[in-house]
Amino acid sequence: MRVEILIAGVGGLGIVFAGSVLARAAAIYEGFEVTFSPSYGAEARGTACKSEVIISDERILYPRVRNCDFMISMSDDAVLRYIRFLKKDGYLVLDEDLVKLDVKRKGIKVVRVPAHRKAQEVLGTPQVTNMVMLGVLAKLLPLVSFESIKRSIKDLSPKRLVDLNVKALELGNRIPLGD
Amino acid sequence: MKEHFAIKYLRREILPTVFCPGCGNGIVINCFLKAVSDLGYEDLSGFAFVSGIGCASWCISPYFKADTLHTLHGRPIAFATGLKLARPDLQVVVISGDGDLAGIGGNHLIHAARRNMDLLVICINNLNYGMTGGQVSPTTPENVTTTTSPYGNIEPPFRLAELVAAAGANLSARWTTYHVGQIISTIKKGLKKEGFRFIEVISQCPTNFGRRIGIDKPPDLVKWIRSICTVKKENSNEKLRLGIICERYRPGYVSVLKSLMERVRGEG
Amino acid sequence: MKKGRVEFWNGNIACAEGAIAAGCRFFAGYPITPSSEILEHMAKRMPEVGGVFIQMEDELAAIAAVIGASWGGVKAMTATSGPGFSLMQEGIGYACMTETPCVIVDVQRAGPSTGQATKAAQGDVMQARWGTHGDHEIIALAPNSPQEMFDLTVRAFNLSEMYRVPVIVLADEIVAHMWEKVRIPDDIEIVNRRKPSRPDEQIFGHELDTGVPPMPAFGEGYNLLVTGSTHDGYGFRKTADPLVHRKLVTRLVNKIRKNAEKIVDFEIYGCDPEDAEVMVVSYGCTSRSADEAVRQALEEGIKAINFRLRTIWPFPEKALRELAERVKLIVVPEMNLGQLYFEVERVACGRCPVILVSRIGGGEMVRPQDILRELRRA
Repeated sequence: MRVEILIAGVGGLGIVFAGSVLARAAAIYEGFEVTFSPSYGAEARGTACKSEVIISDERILYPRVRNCDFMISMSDDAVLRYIRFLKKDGYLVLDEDLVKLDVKRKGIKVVRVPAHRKAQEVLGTPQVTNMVMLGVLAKLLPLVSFESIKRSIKDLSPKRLVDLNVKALELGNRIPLGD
Repeated sequence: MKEHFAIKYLRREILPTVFCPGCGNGIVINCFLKAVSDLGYEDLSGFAFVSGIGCASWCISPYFKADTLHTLHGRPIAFATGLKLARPDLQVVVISGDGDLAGIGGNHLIHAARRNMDLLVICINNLNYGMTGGQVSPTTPENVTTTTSPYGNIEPPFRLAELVAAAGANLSARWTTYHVGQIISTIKKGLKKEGFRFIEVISQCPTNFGRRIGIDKPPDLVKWIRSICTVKKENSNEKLRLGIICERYRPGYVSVLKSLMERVRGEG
Repeated sequence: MKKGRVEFWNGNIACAEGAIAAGCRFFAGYPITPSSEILEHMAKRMPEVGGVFIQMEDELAAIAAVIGASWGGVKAMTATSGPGFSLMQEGIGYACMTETPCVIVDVQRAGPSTGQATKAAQGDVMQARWGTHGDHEIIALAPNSPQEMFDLTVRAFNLSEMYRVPVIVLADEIVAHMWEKVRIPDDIEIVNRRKPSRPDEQIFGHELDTGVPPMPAFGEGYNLLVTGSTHDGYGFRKTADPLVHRKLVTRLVNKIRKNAEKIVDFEIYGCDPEDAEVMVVSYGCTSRSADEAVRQALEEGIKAINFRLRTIWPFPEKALRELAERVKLIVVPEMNLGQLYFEVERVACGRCPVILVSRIGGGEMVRPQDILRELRRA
């Protein structure tokens, strides 16, 4: 079993934090072998940024995402850049406000969610869009339980942000996925 | 005959030193050991000596009967920093030259002063790169002829004691090899203080400096050096000021680090 | 740190924690991408474990402070990347000449010069070997995971203490920034430098078969004479005597060369090496691509192995030569334009063809399919 997840967007959206929360949950609380590789440009804000998470029940050899099962995309650029790595029948989870472009590729499952908007409306800040997205992913990825992700958030968030991040995760988990 | 007071601090089996006749290094060695002797140290076991590359660096290694670290060109202060932090109980002393400490190693000099690192640094400033044949150094006076300033030095020199004082040292002083008594008392003062302590001794290099400026007799060179120095603050624009350039009482790096570690471990 | 635990760390954190587990209590460094997390982690951790952390003014100072601390009797380390590693070379040579145990971590990035500062590469293989001037031997280890960033940093300290030699942990940006589980062993073997048994023992002479003399610290009453100039067994400078130089430098080289078999460490992944027809020789992050390529090759029925170097220097000549006798082809993937490749070719010495698979730029890993394509040729 090898599950590949790619979270991509631009720097400043919490892409790396979302990746690290998911990776830690899978590794420490679910006991899987996990490889997590964040990458970003030299600038801290505004440039292309991604988190690659690979979850497996055996030793992970090649540590990079090639046949992606789940791709969370928070910018048009990220979709254009990485969609070729998405598997046939793989999930493409998009923020419907941050990603405007039409996804033409056939044979994949596209899920559009208002994560950014909901974060603003319900929690008063778009900064937790990443956690809302993770909440959405948790519904699609039963391998990593919601509880494990919550524990991981508690480990990794600064104290003052634990509650907010958990709320955002729960919010994402409640967003209906349409079909 | 009574043995010279300094012999017990030296590796007598390798004496005499290799220094040129008339070199100022012997005077500085003598002053340092006199200070040590005056302060009542029976041997150098509580000391660690660090030097770099150049004639001045040979003062301690191999002559001092002590632990000595003869390091890379320019880096003695950085080596000494590591040693001091690993062994804060040792009195770590750097003796080296102007090229080593202020030329290639200038960055370490100002940063150690800024940190107030607990080191006593004695810079034997012979105004040139003596060991390599008398090239111009960052302390060579303007217009002076050396092997690499054959038409006269066009660069203004560093005033080391002032530079180090400005960088934050707890003690910075300048003397010449003529001022033996003052050097000894300043070394004693330095050995009793914490933080960064810097003593610049303008020294004669008859072989490679004096010869090129037409003053090859050591006593004449010492006189010339005195002529470019002054003890008067008001004359210090044209001349190098002698004396204590600055004295501060800030806690040294080791004690600051120690309180940080206590704070961190107390919280943990 | 609690032993017997599983942590989720990136390579840089694992490296810093490995150093602490090995007994490192002095860290001096200078910020440089992509190794800075080691520096930052040590800044936090050293005071907690009663060690010293200092950020120096440059890499020249960092390696110098590390060597100074080591003579103070403390296990010491620095970490850097490409340009900083270049700056440290003179200090590394000093550590070789004065037989000072210390660990230097080089998280490789794309060069030459500033290159692509945030992107992985494997271009420092030869700099690790020959970066400092003059005859010398060095030890360099190449981790391929956060687990090995921990384990091999521990081993780096142990080898450094055992052989009185600087040891380089030759990591890369991918391994350094990759997060994986790190299992902290219950028992970590720790080696400490051997102290002299007599006050008159030669600190720079050779009295044992291994040629590694004992090493006291400053302040222990030995009146140590430590110098980077050629010296006799007691440390006295002998800057003109041909015999003293020959004896000293030959011993410095031989203490590693003659112990190479004990130092060399590698892993073979794939089919039974006896049956192997094709072989990949790899190290660092690239070995992960090689493992995947070999896995796929085995599925295709190709009898392949990945001979993965955990020690790059000394180079595992004997084992490689034996395997080169057997296989039909060797593939060397590297994130450079050929460094270890030439070393493999030298050892294979015409026994079989050696093919280089290069990939440089953007920190992109060598792809498994590019290795696999070559394996299929055999």
